[in-house]
Amino acid sequence: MIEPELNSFDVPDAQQSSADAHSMNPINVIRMAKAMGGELKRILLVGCEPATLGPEGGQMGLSEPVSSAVDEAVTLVEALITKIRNGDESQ
Amino acid sequence: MNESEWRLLEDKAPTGSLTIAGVDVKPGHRVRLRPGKRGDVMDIALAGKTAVIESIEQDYEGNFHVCVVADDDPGRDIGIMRQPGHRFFFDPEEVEPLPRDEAARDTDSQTPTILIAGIGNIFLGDDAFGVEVVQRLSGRKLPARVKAVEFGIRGSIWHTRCSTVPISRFWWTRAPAVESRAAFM
Repeated sequence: MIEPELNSFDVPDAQQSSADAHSMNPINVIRMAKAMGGELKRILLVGCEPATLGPEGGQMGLSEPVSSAVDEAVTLVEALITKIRNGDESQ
Repeated sequence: MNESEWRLLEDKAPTGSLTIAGVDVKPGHRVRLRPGKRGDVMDIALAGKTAVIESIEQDYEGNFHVCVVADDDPGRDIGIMRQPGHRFFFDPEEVEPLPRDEAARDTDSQTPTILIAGIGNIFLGDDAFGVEVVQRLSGRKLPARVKAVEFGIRGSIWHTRCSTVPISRFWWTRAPAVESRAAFM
């Protein structure tokens, strides 16, 4: 799990801030939200490194090792929910 | 609208409070929406919903309009920011003030709202990790004010850009047999 520092994201100028639906990714979304005056609260990121993104034509379904990490991520997310709801900031 | 008309409107400053059905209501209070019979399709959609009063406005004639943001509007944050599309105006008789205990239920609650956003592209193999986790979570019982939703945006940027994203806290859930360096949800 990582916690990005939201203050470090530059607010794009008007020219750059146009949304391209094909290049949306978490960083662009956070930048755009900031550019549009959105208030960013706390963001925690839970993830897993991909073993494969598939061949050029794409691929549906997770690889075996990543698939087996899903349960662990679910447990982690549920633990984070409990911590946040209990007001535990220390993680 | 010309300048004198604007001035007329600006002279009518938003009102701090209003008495509706014998109850003193203020911005921040919660109401149930009871649109009049001659309403439009939005009124039909909003009828019976609970909402928060964002402001109480006055028109040229001095009539009051209660501006509300619906509780279950997915864009309610935008409404609270006074942006268009998520604020709705009703006549005072079209809103029913909620009893104080019910009205206080959400606004006074200290419980944080949590969104679990499943990020990733399901056509890109393991990039679908976040989507898969959210699907798994949505089948489980989540506490109130916690939502698990799929977000279709690409997640793999974290993989390539992680080294350039300043991070204040940093540790990993280790996937079996996968060296965990990047985040996908």
